[in-house]
Amino acid sequence: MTEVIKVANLVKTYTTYDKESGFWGSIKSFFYRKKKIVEAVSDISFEISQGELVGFIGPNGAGKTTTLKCLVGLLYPDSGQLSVLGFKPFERKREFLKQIAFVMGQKAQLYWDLPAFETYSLIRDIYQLSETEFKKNLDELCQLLDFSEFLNRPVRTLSLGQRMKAEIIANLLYKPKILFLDEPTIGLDVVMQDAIREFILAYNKRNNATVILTSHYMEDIDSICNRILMIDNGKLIYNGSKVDLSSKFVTEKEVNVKINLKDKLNKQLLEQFGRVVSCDQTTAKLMINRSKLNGFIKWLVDNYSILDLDIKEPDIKYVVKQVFSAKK
Amino acid sequence: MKTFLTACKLTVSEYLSYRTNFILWRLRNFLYLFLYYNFWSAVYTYQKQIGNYNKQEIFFYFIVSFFLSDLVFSSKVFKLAAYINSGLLSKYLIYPVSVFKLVVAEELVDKAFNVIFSIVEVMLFVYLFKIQIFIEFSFYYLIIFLLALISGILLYFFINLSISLLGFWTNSVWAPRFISFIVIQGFSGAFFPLDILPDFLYRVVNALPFSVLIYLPMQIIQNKINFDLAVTKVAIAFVWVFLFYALSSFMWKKGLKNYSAYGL
Amino acid sequence: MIRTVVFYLKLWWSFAQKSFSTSFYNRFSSILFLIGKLARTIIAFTFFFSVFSRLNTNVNGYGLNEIILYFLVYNTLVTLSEFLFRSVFEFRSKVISGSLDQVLTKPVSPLFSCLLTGADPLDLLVAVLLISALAVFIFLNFSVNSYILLLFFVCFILAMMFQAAFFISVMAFGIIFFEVDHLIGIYRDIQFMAEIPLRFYKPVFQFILTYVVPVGIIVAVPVEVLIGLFSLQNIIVLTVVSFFYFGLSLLFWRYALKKYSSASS
Repeated sequence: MTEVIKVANLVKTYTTYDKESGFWGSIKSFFYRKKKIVEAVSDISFEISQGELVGFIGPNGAGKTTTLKCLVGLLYPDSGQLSVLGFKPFERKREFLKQIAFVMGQKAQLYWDLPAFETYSLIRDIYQLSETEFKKNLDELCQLLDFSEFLNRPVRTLSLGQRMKAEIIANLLYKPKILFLDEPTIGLDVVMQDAIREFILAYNKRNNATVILTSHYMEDIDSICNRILMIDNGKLIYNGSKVDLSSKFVTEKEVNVKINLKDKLNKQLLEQFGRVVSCDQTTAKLMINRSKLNGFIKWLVDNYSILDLDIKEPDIKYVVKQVFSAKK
Repeated sequence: MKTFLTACKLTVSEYLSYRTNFILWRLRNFLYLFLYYNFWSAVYTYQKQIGNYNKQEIFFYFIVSFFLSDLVFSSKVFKLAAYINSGLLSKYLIYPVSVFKLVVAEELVDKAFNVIFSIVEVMLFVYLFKIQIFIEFSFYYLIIFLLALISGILLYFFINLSISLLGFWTNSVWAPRFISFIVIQGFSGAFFPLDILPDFLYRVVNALPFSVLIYLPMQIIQNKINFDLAVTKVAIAFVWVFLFYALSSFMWKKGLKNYSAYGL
Repeated sequence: MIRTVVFYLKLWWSFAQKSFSTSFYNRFSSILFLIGKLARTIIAFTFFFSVFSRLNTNVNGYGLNEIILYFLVYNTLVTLSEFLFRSVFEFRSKVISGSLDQVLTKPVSPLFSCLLTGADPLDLLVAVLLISALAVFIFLNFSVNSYILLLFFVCFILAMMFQAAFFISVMAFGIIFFEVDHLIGIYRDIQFMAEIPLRFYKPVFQFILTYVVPVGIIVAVPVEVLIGLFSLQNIIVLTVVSFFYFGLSLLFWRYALKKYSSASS
């Protein structure tokens, strides 16, 4: 498996100004502002291979977008080595830019008053696609995203979800090898979110494209990515598979219990084993420490007639919440 | 009154938060005076008199009209169009203060802010370039001058308001604004005294309401119009003010009914 | 090299078509804008005519005809600049909204994308009218041969080069300071001074309009060529000034992009 992205010791800082609040503050700020240097990314290293589906997770301001922008060539790193498809991103060589796509959520590049198709023909000219290539790719994308009927309607008449689809098509028309997606499902309804996720998976399968995704919706990460990079305060705190994520950070397992109607569950009794998330007469959901798991199961079997018992790794949302709230 | 003060503070803070923008803005104003001083000097290099104006009179005209322009033409009313188009108007409609009062308050603050700096710029310019400015006229002329000025300010306000309210019916208010900007400022007397135009054109342009904005007060202050005629013109000006006030009132009521708070 | 030029010409035409289509979709606004632009030119002409119609001496070789010529050349230059460089006016919102990022990830020169992709058909229409008026006026009032016309054309291109230099600098300034509108306003005010013959101004001001903000010389030299009063010295000055400021603007632009990439949005 070839490494397409190599990051070694990436550091990126930027300066911001402290502005005082209030009326007199604004007058003061006119004449003097205090400079503040923020380290957005401090010494991050990782590698990504062709065809991987990678998720960037981290709280706001952790450094995800900054790292992404460095990889795409928008930001110039302060120090470290960056290599994407063998190129130095910041040099922004044509050959490099023709192979990547950067989808930025709401920021549309489509002409507002014209049908999406017009913008696509412009993309064809920018990326110098042949007419056959262009037609083939467009048809494939429209089919995958169910967009054909909207091709010739002015973009301003489309709904937010359809505009997002149009935006995605615009970014994939030239079959980029690497997709950088920054919050692709933000503001979309549930159905549309699902459609976009399905599409990304299908596209990755068909074209072996590498997908790098940042999102605050854990469902995005969960359904698409098989590898996770977790960033907090500019540092990489996890780099590995999705499956191993929970066992690294969380010592609990999620346990769902369903018992026979004859019996009744007692919340207080359950609490001696772990944290009770929900509990009614016959069903309960608990987070139980691995060490106490055996004891719990024994006690359950001894005291109740079990209809269903489900033990699994806690989902990503829970893990991420634990990790980041623990830091506070 | 308290809301008014808060509105003042907010507007001023807003201006000051964009440092470069603010500095360039005032620089531009001062530069304007310098540029047109050279422009008119150049024009008068080979002519002693243009129409009714000699060099001194033209200098007087462009400097005083510069100050009056700042007073009459500084306006934030067009923000209303943006609010209507974006749906943000809804937020203001729910306020316990009427939208109209807010608009007027912001307008007054904007004008005051502009005028204060304008006075400084004009005084600095007059001092540096030793321009002779003296105004002498009687008490009655002063009154009629002030009335003319007030009618001009009100007229421009209501014209602007009417155009901004087009936002209820169309998304592109910028086009009518562009045209109105060119036509109004071109025929207001802000750039040049209207009576240097050939006779026929002068009579047409003078009949338009826009000549009231800058040209009429300038005529009064330069004693180039007799008192009775001035009074008649000011009276007609107030009729125009009333007409545009009625128009904007009508548009506001009608527009609000159509308003569907879309866009967000 | 030729291939790159051809690529960008084709791309310019693609963008121009989209820009034209957008104007046609918004018929109402487009017509109003067109009327506005024509009105502006006509009002300006009326003003200049009124001011100079009584100029009874042929001073320095300049009578009413020469002044009208100045007016026509100046407006053609300005309108053609607005036609080509229209997208500069949308630049500020690109920077603030972050759309500039999207421009930077495309395999097209960002300078091209920001400067030349917004060709405005309305300005083109006005420019065509002005060029026609200019052609007719020259034919009726001045004797020109093909050498003079060629020289005029070259000087005009140099003038456009300086205009480009200015707009590029404005965008660079906009990236660093987020401020574009007032700067353009200041330039327009200064530029307006060039609408009357340069030689009417005081020597100090002439110097400013030739070397500091060369708006004066870029109009004066093409006009002088047409009148037949040109000097080799002036043409050299025009060439040097245009190339100098153009080069400077490119450096400034490169610097600004580097600075942009050093700051996070």
